[in-house]
Amino acid sequence: MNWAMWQQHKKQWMIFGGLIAAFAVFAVPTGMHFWHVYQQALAGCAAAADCDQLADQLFRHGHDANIFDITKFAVLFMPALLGIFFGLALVGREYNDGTNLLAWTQGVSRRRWLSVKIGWTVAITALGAGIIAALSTWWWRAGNALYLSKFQPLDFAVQGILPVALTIFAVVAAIALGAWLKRTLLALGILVVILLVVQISVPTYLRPHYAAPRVYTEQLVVQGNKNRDHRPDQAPVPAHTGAIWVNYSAVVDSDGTALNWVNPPEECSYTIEEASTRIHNEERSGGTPDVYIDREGGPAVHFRCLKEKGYHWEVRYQSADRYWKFQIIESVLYLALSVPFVAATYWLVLRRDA
Amino acid sequence: MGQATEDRGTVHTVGLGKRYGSFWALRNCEIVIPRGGVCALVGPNGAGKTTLLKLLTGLNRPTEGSATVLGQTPKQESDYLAEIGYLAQEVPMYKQMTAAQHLELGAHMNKQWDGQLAVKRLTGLGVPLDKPVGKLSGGQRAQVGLAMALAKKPKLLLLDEPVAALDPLARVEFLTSLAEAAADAAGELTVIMSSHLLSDLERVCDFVVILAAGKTQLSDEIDHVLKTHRILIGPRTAETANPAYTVIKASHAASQTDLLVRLNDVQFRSAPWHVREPDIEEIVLAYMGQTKTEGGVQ
Repeated sequence: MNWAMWQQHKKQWMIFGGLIAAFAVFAVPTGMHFWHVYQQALAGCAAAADCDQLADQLFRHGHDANIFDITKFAVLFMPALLGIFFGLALVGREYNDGTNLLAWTQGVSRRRWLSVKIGWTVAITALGAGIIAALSTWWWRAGNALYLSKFQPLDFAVQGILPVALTIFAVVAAIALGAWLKRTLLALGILVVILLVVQISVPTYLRPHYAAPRVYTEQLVVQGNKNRDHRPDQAPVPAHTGAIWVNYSAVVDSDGTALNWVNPPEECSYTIEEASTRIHNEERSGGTPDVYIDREGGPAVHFRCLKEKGYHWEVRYQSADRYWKFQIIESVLYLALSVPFVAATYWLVLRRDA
Repeated sequence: MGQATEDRGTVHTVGLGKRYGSFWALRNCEIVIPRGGVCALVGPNGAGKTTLLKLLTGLNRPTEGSATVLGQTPKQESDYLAEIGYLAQEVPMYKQMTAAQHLELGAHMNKQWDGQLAVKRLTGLGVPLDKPVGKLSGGQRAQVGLAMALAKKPKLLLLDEPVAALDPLARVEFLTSLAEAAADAAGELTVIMSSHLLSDLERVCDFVVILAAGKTQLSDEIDHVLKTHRILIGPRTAETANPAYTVIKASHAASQTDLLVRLNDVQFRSAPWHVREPDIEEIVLAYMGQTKTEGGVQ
């Protein structure tokens, strides 16, 4: 049966192997190039003692930026593509072509036939996904070091072990859909919907809750403007904390209630014209002007006034040391989600009439 | 394989029925097929032939009743599957794979496998072994399917409409191959072959099962069927009922009535009827509820 599996799918597997090799041929030299460029830039800015803006300058535009984005999206869609090309057809095509009748009347029980088929397909796609994920993680290290972004949802899904778990989930879901609906457009449509829903809702609704977020608070900046380090209208980032993932940030009062920018406390609100006049006057008198921020179409809010009333920044975030914990939790989650699809496939193939 | 069950035939079904949703594809199927012959399973489209064969392979499960095949209940387990060969309708195969690869596939999926015989058979027929089967003619593909099924050295071979899609020459070649295989097996092989027309199979079969409207209409040896059926031709006014025979089909013309009857008693007073011996096709068509012209060769 293992030989039969090889004979039947070798073309597909060899194409897959070829694509992985092609990705390696692309990723190894470009990965080394990016790392080299990053190291040089780092050395250059260190000499000039001006590394703060490196992340805004390097790989942000043109050719390099395109390669970064295209590669990221290719790896992001890999589980879906493997599901479509390896999963949907695995049993669905046999039903479509009637070859299940040929296979199930040889001397191999239907259960064993299915186990070998699922086993090899999951093993090969997971192995391939593992190689691609490892290459992707290694390839991305300049970006990881530069942007501290590997905990951000789009990066999180294309590095580490999560791509492997996602691939296994996509492939077994596709196998089940193929077994249920044959190799049809409907099966493909449902697969795409399932993967979209899962890939959007898990990072949005589940991932922030794998661990209670750490909380960071900071006083409002009440004076000055346009200073990069103290942009008063932007949530602060906890200093020296690596690749964190911010789940929530807001200006809150002492009870933790977020500031309503459209309807802020009356005594701290000014019209835009009033605020401009006040800033102008403060500048004219030689002082550093106070901060007034208008957002979401609301009035200009006087930050000094807010601070006096107890308002401050609150940032809830997942710290960098939780990265692997989150990768493992989510991978286990996807493997758990895979189990019902495998069970459904066995049920459909073994229980249903041929 | 128990001796007692073998006495009751290679295939023995009791009240066998299969329902798909609310539709009974087969019901009250009662057949006993003796060992070692070639059986024609005949019936119009939708009579339940495919369903019966799938129940006998274990591909489908019966809704009611039971089937005993070679002393076992059909099931999707290797010890049962090793005993049977099956060729599904339209001979499904992996189109990109060659005949040689299919034989290799069979060799790896069966404990018992005679690949040499299959290669000899196919080369003898001039079937190319190295071409994808999707590029072979229907007749060649059917021969590959038959060779695969026979390479398993089955005790029971189930063929679902194997010649329906073939041109006349390919039909003759297929049936010749089959007859040779049955002769080579010297009584160790039982064949059940379905068709919607008996004329396809008549020359190689010695047993016939007629399915119509999901029920068994007849299950008997062809020689015995011929001996016990007659066509009676008489005036329109003649009394048709007679305890000596059972009317299977009556057709009335302006002044004449034709009856096809099964004799309960070979010695019967035939007057006023004129008696003629029907051929097997006339008998089968009568049981299928069709006249020869309506059910004519398409």
